[in-house]
This record gives sequence, structure tokens and C-alpha cells, in this order.
Amino acid sequence: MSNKKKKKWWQKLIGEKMTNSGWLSFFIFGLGQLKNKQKGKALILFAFQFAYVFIEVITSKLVKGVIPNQPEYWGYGFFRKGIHGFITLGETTGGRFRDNSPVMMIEGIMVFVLILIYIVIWKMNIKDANDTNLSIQRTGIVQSSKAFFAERFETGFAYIVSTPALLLLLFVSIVPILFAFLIAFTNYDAYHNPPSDLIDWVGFANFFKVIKLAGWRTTFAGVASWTVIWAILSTMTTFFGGLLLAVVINSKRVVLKKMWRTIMILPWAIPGMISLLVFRNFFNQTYGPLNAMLGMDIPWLNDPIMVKVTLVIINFWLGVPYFMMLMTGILTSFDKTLYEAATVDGANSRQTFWSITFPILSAQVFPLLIMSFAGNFNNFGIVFFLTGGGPRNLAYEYAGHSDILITWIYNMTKDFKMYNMASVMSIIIFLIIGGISTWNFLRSDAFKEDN
Amino acid sequence: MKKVVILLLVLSMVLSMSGCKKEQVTAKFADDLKWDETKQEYVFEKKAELKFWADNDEYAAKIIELWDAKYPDVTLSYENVGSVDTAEKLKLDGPAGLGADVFYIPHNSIVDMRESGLLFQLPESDEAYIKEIMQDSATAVTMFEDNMYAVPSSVENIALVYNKQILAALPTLPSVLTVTGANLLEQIENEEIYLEELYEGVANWGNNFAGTGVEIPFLSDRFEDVDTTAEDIHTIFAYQLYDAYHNYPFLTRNGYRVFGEDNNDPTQFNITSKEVTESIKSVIGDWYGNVDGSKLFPGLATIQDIAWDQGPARLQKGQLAITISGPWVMGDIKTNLTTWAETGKFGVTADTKVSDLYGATKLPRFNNDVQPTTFSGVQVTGMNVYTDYPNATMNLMRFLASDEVMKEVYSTLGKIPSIKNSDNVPGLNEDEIARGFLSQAAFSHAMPVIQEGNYMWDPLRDVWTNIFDAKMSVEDAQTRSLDDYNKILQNSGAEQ
Repeated sequence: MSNKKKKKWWQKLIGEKMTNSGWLSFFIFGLGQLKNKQKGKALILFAFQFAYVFIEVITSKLVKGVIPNQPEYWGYGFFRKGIHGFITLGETTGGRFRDNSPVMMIEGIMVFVLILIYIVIWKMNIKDANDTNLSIQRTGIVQSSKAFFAERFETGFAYIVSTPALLLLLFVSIVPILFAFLIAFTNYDAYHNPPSDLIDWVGFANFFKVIKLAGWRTTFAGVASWTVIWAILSTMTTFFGGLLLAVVINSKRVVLKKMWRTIMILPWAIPGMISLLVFRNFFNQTYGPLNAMLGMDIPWLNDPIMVKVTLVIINFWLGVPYFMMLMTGILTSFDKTLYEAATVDGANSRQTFWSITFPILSAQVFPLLIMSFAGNFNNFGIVFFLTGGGPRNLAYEYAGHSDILITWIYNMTKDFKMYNMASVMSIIIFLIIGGISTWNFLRSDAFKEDN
Repeated sequence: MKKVVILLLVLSMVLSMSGCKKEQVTAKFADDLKWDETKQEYVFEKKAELKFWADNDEYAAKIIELWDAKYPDVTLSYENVGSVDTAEKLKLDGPAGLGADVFYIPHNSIVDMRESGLLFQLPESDEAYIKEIMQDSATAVTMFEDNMYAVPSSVENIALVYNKQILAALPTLPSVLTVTGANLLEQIENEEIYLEELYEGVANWGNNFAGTGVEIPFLSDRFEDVDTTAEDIHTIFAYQLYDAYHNYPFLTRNGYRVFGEDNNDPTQFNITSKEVTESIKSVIGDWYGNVDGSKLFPGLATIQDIAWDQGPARLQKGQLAITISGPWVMGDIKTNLTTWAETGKFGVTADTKVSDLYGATKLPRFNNDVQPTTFSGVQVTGMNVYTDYPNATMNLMRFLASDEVMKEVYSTLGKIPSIKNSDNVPGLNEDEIARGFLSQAAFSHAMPVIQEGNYMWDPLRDVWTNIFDAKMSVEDAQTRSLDDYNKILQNSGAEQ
């Protein structure tokens, strides 16, 4: 084995070859380590496996009383019941004292995560037994457990300290996300209403629904394309608007800079929701003060095209201060000598802007632009409070002309309890936003410099 | 090895999916209740602690005070949870053991909560007791397949709400009925006008004060800009048009009832029926749905434009003459009255009562002498099936239906208690406005308590939107509405 051959996949997992110690650890954690005369390590590994088995036994009917006539699987231990529950999502209906499908699914996911951890430790345990055994065969030296841990503490410190955070993230973040994700593969809707009803796995049926049924397809295509257009427009307008304002205010010829900045930042000082509710009345076609002042009858929120224009305008009003302040901050931190050098070289102000200001600025704000894009993509508040999705679109299902994906999802869950379809949409949103953001982040200079 | 495990998992999944059978297990819960004949209450569990959800702090404090006086040994605590949020919250909190034992919910939440198995089904003895003391229309919504799932607390329905000061200044409108009233206020209160005639008359005024040709009292108190040329600001009649709840009465002229006679037959949505066509046609006449020439709501492009802020909210400010709304519209008016008394607006003094300025009465009859039917809403208390103290909780349920609590429902919450005998609630019988709403209550029916009832709202609303917005013919609008309804059913997983 000394020749430098490319390792096979299983060698990466369990070490160069299975030794006797490895086989011992394969069945009982730590037994191989004990054979390798590393008692401390053996004890810890064994305790880990024992804990799992102990939990399984103590939660099973072997030690616990049994409710008369209960289904057999209620007597399973924590892990077996978790897996069984995850697969079947419950078999008895009727609310309290019966199966509760979502709870069973969450428990199942947690069991799977725990088993994943178990498998990782199992693998490490076998590999360690093999490696140590081979090392002993080669050198004859037995490393004490104490020395081993001391060494690992030195070399793997970063991994050790991040483990608790990782575990916490697994349960606080990954488990709920998996749950929301898996709902897309069930029939969790108004007619399958837990805890009294059970829900079932339906595979990809919900995804096919979006593709196959004409109503859903039209709605999805329409809402998704408006969402993308909306995200691009709203991000671009606020970005360039903010840039323009910042550059203008920063210009030498503008007096009372502080006053201008203060005025411009005001829209940000009012909670967005309040502004939006006020705007909703302000832009009311029949009763709104705006049309009354203008003496015109513009369907600000009632026309399919006009409502989109209004949304972009209001978003501009709400979002521009943020970018303006951001750019102002960056602009004031610029090295003045750059501009002096440019002036000496005879550059005019336009050249200075496009060759110096803009490139430096855009490199710095690009990641924020992506964040802002993602934020606008899911800008629930502005659509919900301003238009409520209206005006109605006869061709859509549960969506109006101004609905974006996230408000559509809200309608489906809140009003029609279509949790499964909402989850399908969430997955699609995740793929779109996740894809674009990752791609953009990887391309941006800010990300490259970080590496 | 890993591959084998995965293979096994997938296999077992496929097998279990094809071969699983659901079985029913019986509960032991109902057997836990123990009734004490001498005390006429359930036997409290030892160390029972109760919690209830409501959305009014002042009311909750009163309830706890009354409870402590009656049952000093049992702690009752309170958490502020919005009644419409209760259903969703309890679905998670209930099984987790965090939910309140008793909660206030609007009756349309009963469907969802009952279907999801969160509501305790009341024992027959309590059912009989509740039916004895509560109004029949209120208990109707709590029943499903002859079982009771909640206890009514207060009732509400919409009615015609108006500003007396303005209406008294307006002349009577032409009617085929004999008009003895001297002004529009008396004409409406004496029921000397049909609904269609009221609409048409107001429309002929251009639905605006300037069009009436008379002087409206305290006009400068009502509007900042009296001389504004914008007609819409001085509207006479406006209500929440983009809303099925407020529009439902106008479908009922020829006997339409959603989901049949008992409102709970899922096969009887019947939105395309002849009765609906006739009712809509009579109500819209040649002006109401005629968007381009509509005189009632001038310049109206979509019915979405008239929401709460443009209707009831302006009545509360004294700017609107007539609206259609429920008792909840009175809350802010009471607050406003104090402010007006301080500033002397509308000639209000400290002695002025709400009923001097505002009134409520049943909706005018249709011109075929049929009274419009409204939905009645009932606020109910429900009992959490996940409670640890069923006996104590049942006692709390009965307590919340008692006269002493009903008094608070009226005096603190300003709601109309759902009890049969209103003599036990001081002030209720003398309350003109409450009586106004009650006069329409006789012509109200319970909202459906079947799952389909949650899906009827958009189609019921959009039958009007289709006419106003999409400019469809009445018949097309009805067909479209039915299509929408069927699609919702299909998408929501109903078995067809």
C-alpha cells in the first residue's frame, strides 16, 4: 500500500483497509479503539452509540406502558417511530390521542438528521480504528487517548469550536427548511387538515399541476415574469436614482449639503408600512387626493399597466434614500488625490465620473445590489399593503395583475390553505433567487477579494 | 452498504404508500368529565389552571375579576390573541400544549378548527343548556351534524347606518309607497321607500350633497374644503363594495340563499340560478352596474375604490350620510363624539348621545316587498381539545355564557350579547342603535359552517366585479363566478 496509488472511494471513507480493529468498531463503537489500547477514546465513542440505543429503548414500549388498542408502531422507540412516522405520515385519524402528520414529519426529519450525525461518527470511528491499527502495525507505537485529543485539539480547533454552532443550525435552521420543502410533496391543503386529518406523500404531483393545468401555468408564467421585471426595475431605479442624488449632492457647486441629505432621507424615517397604507388612499382613483389635486382621473392602482408603474414609482420614493446614503458614504471616503491627478491629466468631469467614481463605486456596492434584487424579488410589503395584488386578473388563479410570487404564495396559504402549492412556489423562488445570487456573488469583485 | 440502506428505504416507502390503511382509535377524553349535581358545575381538577385568549385587554381584566370572585381557587390567566389568528395559532400551539383552554373566535373559524380536530365537542347536557339560553340563530352556527362545538357570545350583522343630522335635512325621495315622512330620515325610518328607489333617488342627486340642492347642516365642520368641485368628496351613500359580505344581501331579492335552505349543502352554491340573475338586474337597474353612466358612484372605474376608508370611515367622521355596516362602526363614533363635544363640531355638546347623531335600521325592502337577507356573524367561545383540565375548562365555558359576563360583553365590548333574554343586560333594550341592528338580525342567516363556506367569498364578490370591472353581462358574470368556485374546490383538494 505504500505506492502512491489513487485512493478508492471507500478508502477515503474508512482508511486504507479494513483491519480487525475496524471490524470491531464496525459493530460496536469504540471496540476497535479498545483493541488499539486507547481506552479514553473507546469510552467516548461507546457512550455515543450507547446513548442512541438507550434513547431507542427507553422510548419504546419495552419500558413504557401501552395504551390499550393502540397501533403497534406507537410502541416503537424514538428512532424507529420517527422513520415509520415520516414514511407513513400517520395512520390513525381524529385529532388528539391520534397521529398528527406535520408533527410526525418534523420528528422524522429530526430523526434523519440525528441518524446522519450517527453515520458520520460511525464512519469516523471505523476510519480511526483502521488508521490507528495500521499505524501501530507500522511503527509499534501506541498513541494514548490523551495525546490523541491534545493533538486533535491543536490541529482541529476550528472544527471543534464550530461544531456546536453547526449542530444548532442543523436543528434551528435546516430542519424547518426541510419541513417547508417537503410539504411540496404532500397533499397538505384545506381538505387534509391536521391534526384531525392525515396528510400523505403525493410525490411530484403538485409540480406537475403547475406545469400541466392551464390556469396554474398561465398564472405562474405571468406572475413570475412580472416578479423578475419588478425586481430588476425596482432595483435599477433606486440604484441609479440614489447614485444620481449622491453625486449631485456631493458636487462642489451644491450648497447646504446637510439640508439636502436630511430632506432626502425623510421617506426612510417613516415606517414603510404606514407610508404604503397612506399611499393606498392617496392614489385611490375615485377618492384619492392626488387625482383631486391634478383634476384628472388616472387609474393609478386600477389599471393593469398603470399599477405596475405606480408600484415602481412608490418603491423609488421608499428605496432611493437607502442607496443615496450608501453612495454618499462611499463617495466621501474616496481618496481626493485621485481626482486631483485626473484634473492634472486634463480629464473633464464626465470622464472623471465614468472612469474613476463609477468603477470604484460599483465594485463596492455590487453585492448590495444583489441583496437589493433579492429583497425586491420578495418585497411582500409593498404589493400587499399598496395594491393587495389588484386589480383582478381574470386569467389568473388566486393572483391579481400586480401580485408577485411571494404575495401569491401568501394568498394561497392564508385564504385557501394550499400549503402544498405554496411550498412548491417557495422552492421555485428559492431556486431562482439562490441561483441568481450565487452566480452574481461569485462574479462580483467583493467576493473574489474575500478569498 | 449505504446504497443498500437507501434501496431498502425507497422500497419500504413505495410499499407503505401502496398498502397503508387508516384506522380510527377511540378517545378517552369525553369520559373524563364529572358533573356535580348539587353545585351545578363540573368538578374542578386539583391544581387546575386556566388560560383564555381574547383580543380586548379591558374586557379580559373584567372577566378575570368576575371569575376570581366566583372561583377564587382556580387561577385564570389571559393572553391577547386576535380572534381571527386563533385558528392558525392553535393548530401549532394546541398539540404542543401551549394553547389556551378557551378562546374567542369568529364563527367562521369553527369550520376550520372543527375539521382539524381542535374543538372539544360539548356534552349533550351542556348543548341543551346553551340552546335554552342562547338565540337559535346564534347556536345554529356552532352545530355540525347535530353536535355542538362552541358557545355563542355575541351576534352581529350589517344594517343601514346613517347620519341623522344630514338625512333630516334631505327631502323625501319619490316612492310608489305612501310617504308620510317629512324628510329622508323619517322616510327611511318609517320604511316608506324601497331599496331600488333609494339607490335611484340618491343616484339622481349624483350621489353628492351639491346635487340635493339643499343646505347640509355644519357643512364646513364636515369638509375642510366646502367649495371643492370634486363631486366624490361629498358622497351621500357609500359602503364596502368590493366585499362579498356587504354585497350578499343584493343577491337575495328573489329567494337566493347560498348553499341552500340550511346554508350547509355543498351542492347548492347555485350562483348561476335565475333568482340571482333577477336579483342583480333589479338592484343594478339601468344605472348601478352601468359603469360609464353610473350616477350612484360617479367616475367609478372599479369597485375596489370604495373600501372601509371611503365608506364607513367617512361616516364616522360625519362626512357621509348613509352606509351599510355592522355595529363595529359605532366604536370610533363614540370616541369622536367626545372630541366633537370639546370643539363644538356639528353642534355637539356634552349631553349629546350617539343616537342623536347616528342611527341604524334594517335595510330597505326590495320593490317586491322582500327584506334583503344579510349574513349574521357570531362571536363564539371554543374549548381546546388539548386542555389538561377538561372539567375546569367546561366550567369556564359555562361561566362565559352567564348573564354576568354577557353584561360585560355589552358594556365593555359594546357588542350585542347572543342571549335570548335581553332583560338581563341593563341598557340593551333601551339602546336605539343596538335595536336598529337587531331589526335586521331577524332577516339574517348564519354563514355556512362547511369547508366550502371558506371558498365562497371570492366568487360571491366577483360576480359583481365581473359586471363592474370586466363589463360582463349579468349571466356571463354568474357563469364566470361558478367557474372560479369550481376551480378553487378542485385546487384545494376537494374530492369531486
